Amino acid sequence: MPAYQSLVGQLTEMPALPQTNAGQAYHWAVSANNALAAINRYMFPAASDANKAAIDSLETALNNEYSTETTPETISRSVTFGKAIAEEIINWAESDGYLHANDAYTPPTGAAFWVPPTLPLPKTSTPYWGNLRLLVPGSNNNAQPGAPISCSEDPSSDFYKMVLQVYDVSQTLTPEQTAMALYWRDVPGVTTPGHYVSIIKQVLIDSNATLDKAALAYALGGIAVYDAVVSCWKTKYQYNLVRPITYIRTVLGHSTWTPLYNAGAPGVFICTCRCIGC
Amino acid sequence: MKKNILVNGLILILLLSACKKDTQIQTNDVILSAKTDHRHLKQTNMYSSDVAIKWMNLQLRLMTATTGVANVAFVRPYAYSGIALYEAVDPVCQRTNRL
Repeated sequence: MPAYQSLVGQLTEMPALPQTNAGQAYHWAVSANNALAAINRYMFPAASDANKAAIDSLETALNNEYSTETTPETISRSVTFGKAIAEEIINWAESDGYLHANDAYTPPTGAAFWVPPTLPLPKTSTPYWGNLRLLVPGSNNNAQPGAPISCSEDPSSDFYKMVLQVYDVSQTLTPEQTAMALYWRDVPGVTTPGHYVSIIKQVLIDSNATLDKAALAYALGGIAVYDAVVSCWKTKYQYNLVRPITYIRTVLGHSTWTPLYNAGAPGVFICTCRCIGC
Repeated sequence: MKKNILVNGLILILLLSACKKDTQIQTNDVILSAKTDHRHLKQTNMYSSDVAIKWMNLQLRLMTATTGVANVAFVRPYAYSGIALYEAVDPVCQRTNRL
């Protein structure tokens, strides 16, 4: 049998985790339930009272459901183990750099640069997200894409032609194209990472997957998307490339042009969706 | 002809007996290993993914309802939930599902 592979020692600065007691039974769905409840409680501190209650309610309901499947001692042991794992993961997550993702930042100014909607930047800009600790050491090695096409206002330039194409397409959108774009819109909606959670969930349901497969899929998917976004944000704030809405209005002269929906901030290069594959 | 059938039948019985004994030895090994190696008899692949799916459903609801947070910031609940889930379930499953 291959050796057990905890993520400890594989992910960056991940601490040692609690161990199970040798020879004692555990109910793994209970451990999972209590770990996931704790993580979600920590990750959504500003959730509404109703949503906070929903976290408590789901945790209790599942614990009650599983309590009929094994002994109280096993349930108790599994609850303790799941919570202990979550506590260590939370302590580790707290030092990943997210607390400084919105530190003060002065974006560059000029025709080639992204124009922030407000100054200081809104909290949704996260200019230092690219400094977050990678989960997989070195996952961004050789991952930076290099400089984008040089910004130019010359109608014969590649940059001008590229943005003109965006404008031209926007003028001839078919109902199908519009529906497709709105279907995949992240905000408002389940968010970009949420789209991937949705897809994994759908695959798990369709394949009638067992808990081991679910754990593996959830972990692998989350780690990949997390590191891809860190790398993506590093690029965005390195180049701060002007967004199409600014260029179309100021250079192409369509001063009232708006995209089908607000694609948000910050710089357009490199596209988040291209980084994580949506 | 009858002798051949008898011999073949005897060989088959011996083989089946040997297989049964071998299986029993392997089972005993698993139990012994479980007692000494932090492994547990009901493995994670014997549970449904229902618990994970229900938490994914709630996480999507929480993501959708949260405002004033960068879209990309939701990679944290996604990633850390997956990692916590992976580490919170029996290591036995991870012997065959290695990251």
